[in-house]
Amino acid sequence: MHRERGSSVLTPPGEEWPLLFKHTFDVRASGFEAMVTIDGALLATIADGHCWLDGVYPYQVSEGDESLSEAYENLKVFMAGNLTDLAGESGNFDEFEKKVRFFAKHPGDPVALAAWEKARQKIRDGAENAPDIKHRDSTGWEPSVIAVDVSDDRPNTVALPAVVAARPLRGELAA
Amino acid sequence: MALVTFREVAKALAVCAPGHTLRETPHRIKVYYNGLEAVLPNGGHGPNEIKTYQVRKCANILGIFECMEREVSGLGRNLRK
Repeated sequence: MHRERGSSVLTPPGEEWPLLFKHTFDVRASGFEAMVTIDGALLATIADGHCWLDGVYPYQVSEGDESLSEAYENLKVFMAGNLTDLAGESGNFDEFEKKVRFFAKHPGDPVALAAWEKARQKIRDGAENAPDIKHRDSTGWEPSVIAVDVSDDRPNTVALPAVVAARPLRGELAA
Repeated sequence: MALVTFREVAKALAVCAPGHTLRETPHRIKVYYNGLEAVLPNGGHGPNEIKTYQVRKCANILGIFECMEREVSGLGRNLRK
């Protein structure tokens, strides 16, 4: 279900909003190359004069900036760094995939998870000041991750550094 | 946006998470405590500086927020108290 609402974005300070996002990362390691799509959840808030995104799934990430879109861009870079490290710690794709599943789906921050559920209920109850973000019915939603080994699809004869984030996708408000 | 030094965070972890271990990776400093794992960014915001929100996140994951709040100046309040 999609519906539009009009309101100022992310106010008042301290109020938390539940977001869903989906993003695909190209991950390159010395032994393999993978595409990783994460369907995850974030909490957005204004704190310390900045917009902050707090990871629920994945639970280990958090980033901020002056606007929601800038914070989201920073968060994608943050996640890319985590994925790069996981790739570097993995001897092969199978090991990497296992680590990525844990990274994306483990409920490791119970405080953030409880706050996300509370914020989602607030949206369902018809929060008057909900931000101007497309709503998405999150009934039955669960975090997911798809990791695909694309090593054979592309020439990869040398160790390539870093992760390149690709395919920008925007967040949606969980309802 | 408040920043704290890694030195200050490390001193606080010594008090709040006794027995914790740290492991540095190219992009992260991983913190292990009581079977839990949190990460802090490794650089990127000036020498050894970490955004306070990311320290709060680490403290929440490790279940040591109240102690870290006392030990790290400028960590700020826990919005979810």
